[in-house]
Amino acid sequence: MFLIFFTMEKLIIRISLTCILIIWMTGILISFLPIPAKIMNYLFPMLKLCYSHICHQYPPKSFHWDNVYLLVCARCAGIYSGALITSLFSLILSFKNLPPNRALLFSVVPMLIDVIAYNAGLYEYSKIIAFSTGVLSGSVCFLYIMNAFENIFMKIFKGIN
Amino acid sequence: MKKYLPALVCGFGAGVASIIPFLKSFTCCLIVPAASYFALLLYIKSGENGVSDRIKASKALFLGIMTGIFAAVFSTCFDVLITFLTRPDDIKLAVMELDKILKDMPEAGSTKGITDLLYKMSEDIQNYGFSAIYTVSMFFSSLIMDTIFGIIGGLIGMQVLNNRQKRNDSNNFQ
Repeated sequence: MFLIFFTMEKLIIRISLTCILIIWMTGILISFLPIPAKIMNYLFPMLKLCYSHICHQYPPKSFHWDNVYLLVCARCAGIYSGALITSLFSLILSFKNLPPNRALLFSVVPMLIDVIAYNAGLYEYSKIIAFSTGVLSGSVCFLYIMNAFENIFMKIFKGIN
Repeated sequence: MKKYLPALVCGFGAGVASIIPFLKSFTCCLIVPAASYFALLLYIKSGENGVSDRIKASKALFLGIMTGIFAAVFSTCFDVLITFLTRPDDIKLAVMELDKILKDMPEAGSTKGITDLLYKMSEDIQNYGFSAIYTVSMFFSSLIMDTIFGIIGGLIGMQVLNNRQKRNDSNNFQ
């Protein structure tokens, strides 16, 4: 897993995925960026609408700074942050073998337990817990996505060569 | 038509699930990826894929994309229908909140152009139950997002199912 030498094609794929995730996270953090008002007035509603399809965007469940909120809830922010962190590590670590299916299941279970527990009223919603469980599942899910893209594009590269 | 059936069925299910308020807040981004995974399962069950064959990446991508597209179409249809029937106030409240958010931003300027458009949209919904701006914007935004998440679900599902197939094959070999 910790072999740091991998092919140029894999490195290109991983860099591309990291860039896509950076763009995705930039969209989530758009409220905090110093973008001119003329652009922001059209960009912000468009992004809010796009992210509304994948997140309830409920303000009490979102991180905020000075009354400015992220475009997704704490859990979703955790998922995408976890994926971004793993993608950055993937640029220096080989992640040669895909983790077993059990790892994916175990990474999602804390998140499910958190959702069920606070919906059942066992405790108050905690952004930190939601974020942490999201980071765990996002990190593992990214490995599966990265592996799939590598398999697809390696075949294409071999076909071209 | 048969090749679209798993995606159609699961996309329809995802479209229905996405408008149920409780389910939406419970699962948010997992609905469409889960639908893509089930589309792959249906595809395997239908026998189109050989019994011991792995799922190809191209097939997983195709099913993921089609599931996302069908989910976007159905969720937009249901959303427009429900908006027409109920004419909810929450769209107007959301527009007012958005206006406030834009004015509170660090680089806030005049929000006149976009907020006029959004207020007209909410007025049309209140008066007629339908707004072309709302429908088109909902459709295209859900088409983009659901397709992306459909692809993600398809790829993760392919890996999970192929891992399972690989384990079954090695157990059978022993």
